[in-house]
Amino acid sequence: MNRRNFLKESLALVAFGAAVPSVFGKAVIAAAEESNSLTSVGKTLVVVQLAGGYDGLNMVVPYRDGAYRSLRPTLGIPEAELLPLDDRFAFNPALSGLKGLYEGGKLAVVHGVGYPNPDFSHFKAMDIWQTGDLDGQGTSGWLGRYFDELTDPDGHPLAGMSVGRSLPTAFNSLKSTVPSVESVETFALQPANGDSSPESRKTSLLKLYDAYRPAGTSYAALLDTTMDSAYQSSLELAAAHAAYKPAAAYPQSGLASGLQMLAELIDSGKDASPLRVGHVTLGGFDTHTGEDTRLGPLLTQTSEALTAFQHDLEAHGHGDEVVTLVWSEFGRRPQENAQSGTDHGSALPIFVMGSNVKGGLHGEPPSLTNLDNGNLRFTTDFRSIYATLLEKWLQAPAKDILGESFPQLDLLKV
Amino acid sequence: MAEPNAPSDDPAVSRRIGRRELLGGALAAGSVAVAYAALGDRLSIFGSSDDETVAAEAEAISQESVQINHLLRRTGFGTTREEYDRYQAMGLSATLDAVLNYGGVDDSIAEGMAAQFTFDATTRGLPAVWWLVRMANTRRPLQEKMTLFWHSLLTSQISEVRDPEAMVAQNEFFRAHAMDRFPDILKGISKDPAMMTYLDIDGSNRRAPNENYARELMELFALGVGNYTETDVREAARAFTGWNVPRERINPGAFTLKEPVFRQQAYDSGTKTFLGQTGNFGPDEIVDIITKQPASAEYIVRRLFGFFVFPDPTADDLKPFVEVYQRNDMRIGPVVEAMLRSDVFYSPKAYRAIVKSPTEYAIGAVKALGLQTQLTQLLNQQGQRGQNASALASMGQVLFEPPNVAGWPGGTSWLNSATIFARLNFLNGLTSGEAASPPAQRPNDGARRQPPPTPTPSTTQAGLGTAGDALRHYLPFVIDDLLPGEARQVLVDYARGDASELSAEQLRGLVYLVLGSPQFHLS
Repeated sequence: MNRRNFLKESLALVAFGAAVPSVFGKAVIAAAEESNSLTSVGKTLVVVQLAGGYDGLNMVVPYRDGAYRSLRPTLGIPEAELLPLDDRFAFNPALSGLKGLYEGGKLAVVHGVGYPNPDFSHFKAMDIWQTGDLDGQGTSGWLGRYFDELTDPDGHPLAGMSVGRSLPTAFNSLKSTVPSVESVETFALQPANGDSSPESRKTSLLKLYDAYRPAGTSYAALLDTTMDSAYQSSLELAAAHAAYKPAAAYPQSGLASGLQMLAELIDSGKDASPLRVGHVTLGGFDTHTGEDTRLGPLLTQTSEALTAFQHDLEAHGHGDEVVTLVWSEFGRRPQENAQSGTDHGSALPIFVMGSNVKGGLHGEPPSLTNLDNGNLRFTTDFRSIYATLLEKWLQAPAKDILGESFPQLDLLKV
Repeated sequence: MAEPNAPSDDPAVSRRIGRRELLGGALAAGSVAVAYAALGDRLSIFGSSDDETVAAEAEAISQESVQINHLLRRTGFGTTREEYDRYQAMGLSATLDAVLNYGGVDDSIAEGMAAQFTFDATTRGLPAVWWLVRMANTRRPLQEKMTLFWHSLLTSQISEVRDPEAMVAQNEFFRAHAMDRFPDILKGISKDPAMMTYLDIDGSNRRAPNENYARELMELFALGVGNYTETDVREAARAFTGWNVPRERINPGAFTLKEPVFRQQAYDSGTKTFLGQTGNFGPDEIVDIITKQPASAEYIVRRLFGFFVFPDPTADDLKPFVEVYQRNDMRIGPVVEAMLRSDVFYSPKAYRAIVKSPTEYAIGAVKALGLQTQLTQLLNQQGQRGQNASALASMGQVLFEPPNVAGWPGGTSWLNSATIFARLNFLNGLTSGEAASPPAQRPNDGARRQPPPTPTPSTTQAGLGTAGDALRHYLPFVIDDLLPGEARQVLVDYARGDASELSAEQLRGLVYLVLGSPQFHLS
């Protein structure tokens, strides 16, 4: 059988499947005549995980609450240094970039996000946030399940992309695979050192995948198409990278370069962004000790990177197309500890950024006096935020993905 | 490859049309895996029986030489050329005996290399290097493969256990008891400090029994969902109360785990009703009750079958092996032996039916190039450059760090657009003699000053002067000498002719292409 028939028949077989799997090719979708396809063209969700558990109380500071001052005798930030949002809340001085976005109506803060019976282990809490399963027993991630539901008419191999070495649990799925891309350099067939004819080796390799087409094996077409589209998309990503002119000054940081990579990808589509969900992580927020000196630089890095990303997207005409969610696995305990630090806590403010976001403060701030074993009581279930982003932004069936219905929040202009 | 449907199906013509155009520019790498996972067996119907390559691949497994390679891939990590020659000379029957009866094989070389590693609480990347070195150099491949099987089933994550020594001790437990009775392995792992820490047996007490271990024991380790109730989970959890694993804190993120301590007053000594039986059950009784369930026998045999033979077996496929398991007092060894001696193991359905894990892929390549004794050194080179990124992590597998308690999903999920680059770039590092992205994290400090390995392979190696020579050397043991004619021509063209003298660069390029070929991803 020749290549054409081989791929045609394997694609025809895909179409015979009971359900066309996620993120699949245009030809496949057409063949399957899938009617209820999720598309969400022109809408991208970027998820920024700030790992380690950030101190929400020193990021969105209830600066005139007497309880704040007594819980934070040394770590409490003086009013004069803060960036006030209203007469109750102010941003940490390191969040000046985000303050600008807030004033422009492009940043929503949701107070008191959490879930019942909070877990204080990093790993368990991350699993809970990323799977949406409160028992911490879930193995598939909420974004993985989104891709399971997605039928992408463009079939781009980078419809989902995680920047980094390993795939976050949020993307785990039994069916779909989202690539983890460390850098444009590693997402490519690297040439041998000093190879005088690297093109010859590369084209020979591609031909080998092309030439392997036995029947009776499930894998030949998989290997061939994986190689082919990996190669094609690496060329696209490299071309996008080479041609891309950032319209904002990204700071030198892993988070910033990860966001820039996503911006390049978002901008690479001819008609619309090929990226539906992108993910970047910044760690280090586990400030048990020395929070007074450690938190500021982390927040500066975060704020500068997010601000540059948003400005860059806007300058390239994608401001309306991207919503960015910033979260952490838990907040920190209101009462500071004896080492100028804070221990693992529960509810925290989360951030949603974008031109299509309804900026401002959302949700009910947790009480600093009515604590649960010393920790903040959550007022908004994190899954309500997921449900809102899935249903209203990505136009995906949130109930199917999250397993139950959650109240939608009024976070988006769409 | 001949094209029986020529002339209209001339491959040159179809290449000119271009697959991107053919498919509307829409083939999705990450997602093709999805389709194939969903399709399963249906794929076997595509392709017509008059295809030359089909015939060749289907028939290949009937040849003894291919059966030996197949066996050594499944029971180990592939071979060096020298091992290939040795086993081929022995024949399948003697090879099977040697593989299975590994207890009598002297493995002192690998053990000596492994013994050079020392672990402390701050070197979390080191156990993976230690194990890779062991896998690459062992003369008891099945023992390491079974250790990998148990590590992938009875999982623990070093990031949560946070004690490298405890993880290595758990690994040694798997190695020592790889072929024992399944209930004994479960009883042992239930008392393993790393496992007790990972799944919260540590600290579970009668007032608030932690259900984590009891649940995973049934759901993932030994029984499978649908074969127990939530009440069974709660009752079993009561039996695993009373234990503490004392920790010595080394620094804020690291501990040394001490011997577990039993405290009677924290143990729930009351009567439990579990899976229909009532009694004063402790951990061992719970394991015995679980493993006596027929569903447990099928569960563990299914896991072994998927690991050794082919994915997604039917109940009929499993039946004979479930019988072997039950006849042999739930011992694992006889089941593995029965599988490796079965007709189904050497059937076309089993041939190239498994996607290699990153570990199998990487160690297979290292052995094919004869670099196994230099593995630590290759890893050290990486350390000298301060590279923390690990090729195996980029491929999707960090030993001692499965993604969660369910282990690596494996199968087609190993392959996506990022992991296939990671695999090929790893080969590039190896064949360039410049370990650009070698396979693990932390080097062993001891060997840092050694010179870098010679670029591999080398034209001075005996008999590798021409493309024909090199292909004759590598193809038989790397991909069973089974290459479509078209693909062989690609290799020969790359080398500018079968008989032309190869430059060192061409030889390395040729070997990169042989190892990088699609067949090498498959076991």
